[in-house]
Amino acid sequence: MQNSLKVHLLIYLSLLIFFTLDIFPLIYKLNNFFPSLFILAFIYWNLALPQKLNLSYPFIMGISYDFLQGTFIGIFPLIFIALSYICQRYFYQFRPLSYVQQSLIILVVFLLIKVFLSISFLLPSPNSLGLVDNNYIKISFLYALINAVTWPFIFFSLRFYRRKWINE
Amino acid sequence: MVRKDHKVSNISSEAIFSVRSTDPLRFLISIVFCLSLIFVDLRFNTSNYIRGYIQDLYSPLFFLIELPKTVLNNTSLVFSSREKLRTNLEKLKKENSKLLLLNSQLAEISKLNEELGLIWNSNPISKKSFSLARKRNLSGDSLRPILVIDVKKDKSVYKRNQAVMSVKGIIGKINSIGINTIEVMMVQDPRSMIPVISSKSRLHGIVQGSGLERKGKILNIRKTAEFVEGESLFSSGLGNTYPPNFFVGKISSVSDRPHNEFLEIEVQFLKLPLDEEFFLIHSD
Repeated sequence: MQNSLKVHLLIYLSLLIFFTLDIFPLIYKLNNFFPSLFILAFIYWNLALPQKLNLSYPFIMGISYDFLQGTFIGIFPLIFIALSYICQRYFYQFRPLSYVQQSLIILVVFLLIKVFLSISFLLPSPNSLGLVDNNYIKISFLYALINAVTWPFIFFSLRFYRRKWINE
Repeated sequence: MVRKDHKVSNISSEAIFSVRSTDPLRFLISIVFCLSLIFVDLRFNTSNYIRGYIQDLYSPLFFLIELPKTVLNNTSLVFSSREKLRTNLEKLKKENSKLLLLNSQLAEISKLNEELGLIWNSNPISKKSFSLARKRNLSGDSLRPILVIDVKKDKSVYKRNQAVMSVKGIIGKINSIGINTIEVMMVQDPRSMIPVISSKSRLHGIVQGSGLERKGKILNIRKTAEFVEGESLFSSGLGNTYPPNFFVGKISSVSDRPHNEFLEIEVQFLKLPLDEEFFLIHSD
């Protein structure tokens, strides 16, 4: 029981660190391309310790992210729950893939997240349902690519962290 | 060991240590719950009542992020000489007196304008109706930009939907109020709508944002309207949310497309307040 609590605390701690890094103010123009370290870390924990991450994780983390990003409440929990489910459902298939293949999947996942975030729930205009334009697609692709490139670094650093402190 | 942690083989009754994935039913229930949360927030704006308080909870994180910068600044101050500080103070005093002079000129001009009846709204805005707030952070999400500002004054002065301005013009309006922080919905937000009046053609319209680094648009303008490219847009004061006569943006293009029953008018908003530290909140 105590060990389980320690594991949960350590997972939350790592997520909190990445959450703080995500809000670190950079040069404004770079903010759009800065990788979402928190989401990458969340994916890692879902793949590494799926039995430890219950649905409270995506829910709590999603709500916190909603308040930070200014989105409607429920948007990020929805994304995180879907991510969590996919990761926990397919982690056996994901783990043996090469890092390049894993990064490609991450690229697609982040591209889908960006497209989902562009949906304007409040004001669907008659011409389009979202706020996507050419520039947004370019930015989204670059953002997904940067996240895909960052994935191996997050993977190795969190694996090191897990082996050193969590031993699961 | 808890039975939930492993499966038991029906043949040999041995434990199979496979990790189970999330139960699809629980997943579905969570998805439905999230969708209902989104719906409730969309319909009733429930999150606006707590967003400010949540921003208060985030304060320690922002303090932590700002800490290295603060330490660096303070260290440089410790090592700077008294002479240097005195020179800086002198410079600031000079700037202050210049600003005071400009202020007095502006007050005089607005008085003359009022006498001439040029000001659209005859009620001049008093200095007391503005209070100062300091920027804490500007969110990086381009589609839903939020500005968080710190306030020290009595919280009862601030109300939702009060206008927030910089020295250049309107920045947004108060979205949510916390204990020491206020969340501001910026004019570039797609949910933001500002009643405006154009500077040359004197036509009214409503400007809607489309996200950061994107141009806003004036909604539902008939094709016969004569908006001119390049003219400035000022708040008209209609709706009593934004005070009148403050700069909102500039018309960057006016296009008449055959498939659209209205004119497509793009608006260039003010530059993002990246370097500005202080903002004015307009209270009634």
